[in-house]
Amino acid sequence: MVTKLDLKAFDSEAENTWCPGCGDFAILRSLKIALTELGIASHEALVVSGIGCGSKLPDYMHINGYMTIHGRPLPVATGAKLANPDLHVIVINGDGDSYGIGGNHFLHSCRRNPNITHIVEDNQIYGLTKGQYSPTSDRGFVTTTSPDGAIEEPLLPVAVALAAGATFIARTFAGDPKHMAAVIVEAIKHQGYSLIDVLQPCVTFNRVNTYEWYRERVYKLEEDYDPSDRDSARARAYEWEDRIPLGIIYRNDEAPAYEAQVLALKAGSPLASVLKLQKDPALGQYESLKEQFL
Amino acid sequence: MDYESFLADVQERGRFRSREESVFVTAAVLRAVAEVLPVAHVESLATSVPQELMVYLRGAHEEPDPYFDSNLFLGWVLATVDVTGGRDKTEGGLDLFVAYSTDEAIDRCRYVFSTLKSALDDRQSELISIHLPDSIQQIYADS
Repeated sequence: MVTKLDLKAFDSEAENTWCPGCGDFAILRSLKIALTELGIASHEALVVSGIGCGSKLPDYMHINGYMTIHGRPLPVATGAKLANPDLHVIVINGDGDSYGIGGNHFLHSCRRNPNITHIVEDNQIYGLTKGQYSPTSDRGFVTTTSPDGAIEEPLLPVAVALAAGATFIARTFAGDPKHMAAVIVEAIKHQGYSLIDVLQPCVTFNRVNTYEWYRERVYKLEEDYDPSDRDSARARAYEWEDRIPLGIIYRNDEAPAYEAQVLALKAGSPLASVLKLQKDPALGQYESLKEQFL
Repeated sequence: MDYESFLADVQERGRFRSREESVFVTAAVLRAVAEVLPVAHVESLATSVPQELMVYLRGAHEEPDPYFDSNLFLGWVLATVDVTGGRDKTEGGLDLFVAYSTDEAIDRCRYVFSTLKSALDDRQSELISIHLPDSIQQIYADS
């Protein structure tokens, strides 16, 4: 049972600068709810972000946080996970940071399958830089950088992730925080890379894809939908525009996570080894390692 | 209160230049109300709310999302706000919309709530109030 007291453990004192009404608030709250439900404490998780409105999120949580340069949270998160596999590593960034600037890292994280939860705040626009069209902006979308309407087809993240080999792919809507929290819980429990594409209105710079716009189009996957069926997932992955499915679209719980296959990790967590050496100076190896690498 | 009277009242309170703007604002606020009002309660408002506006309330859910908060509520209303030509109050500039939109959204909630409350009886009004997110509940009470 989630209580306000539990959620408050994740509250930070940083002043929030998101626009009121922004979908990021619901994402922040849903993440707190999910972590609370899973009993994951602040020190047991790391939130890595990039650059953008939504990437300010680690600042608004009392949790280990790392704001990387634009588009680079996934490789940083992978490094953190390899160094300390016991850590719950969560990446949060926007559609531009994930699918545009960080598109290469997105693709390779899908096929590499590190045990990372990737939450994408997909508002179909660059908000922090005052409204330029993004990789997921629909064709014809008028912005400051597409005054005649975007002439490119939008990227379909769910379809791309499926093609690239992601083992957990979900979509949710910031207007349904309960659904979002439940999806985040399942994504964190998944052993491997999990993508959650969150449809999230930007109330300031995107006057097309509003809460109402999404509400009229989204639907929740049927109870008898089988997310392990790749063909069904492929069909749903291409649904966009008039009908947009929400829920866990694909999951493969059989594929081994990246770090589970790294031979060097068979001996255990590198961080745990270093901490052990640090606590036992008699071994002398810690000082030796420091001299060698620092 | 009939549909046109409702819209005229909202238009007058908000000093909107057109009936259309009044329609947009009213629809947005009522759609936000529909997000938090259980569908089982919607029909009990039908005796007081014009049928043309009941359409928006009938979009209510069987079980409203318990985590739907005031930010999400305002998000629905903000889509109707178009602030242009105002004086820039921000430090960095270019944020005209951000500078004004929240106050404007709250004002728009107030205009619609005031008109809505004047159309409802006390029991119906209480029914809506108890389902609103905390800070929106306060705006409703002050309207």
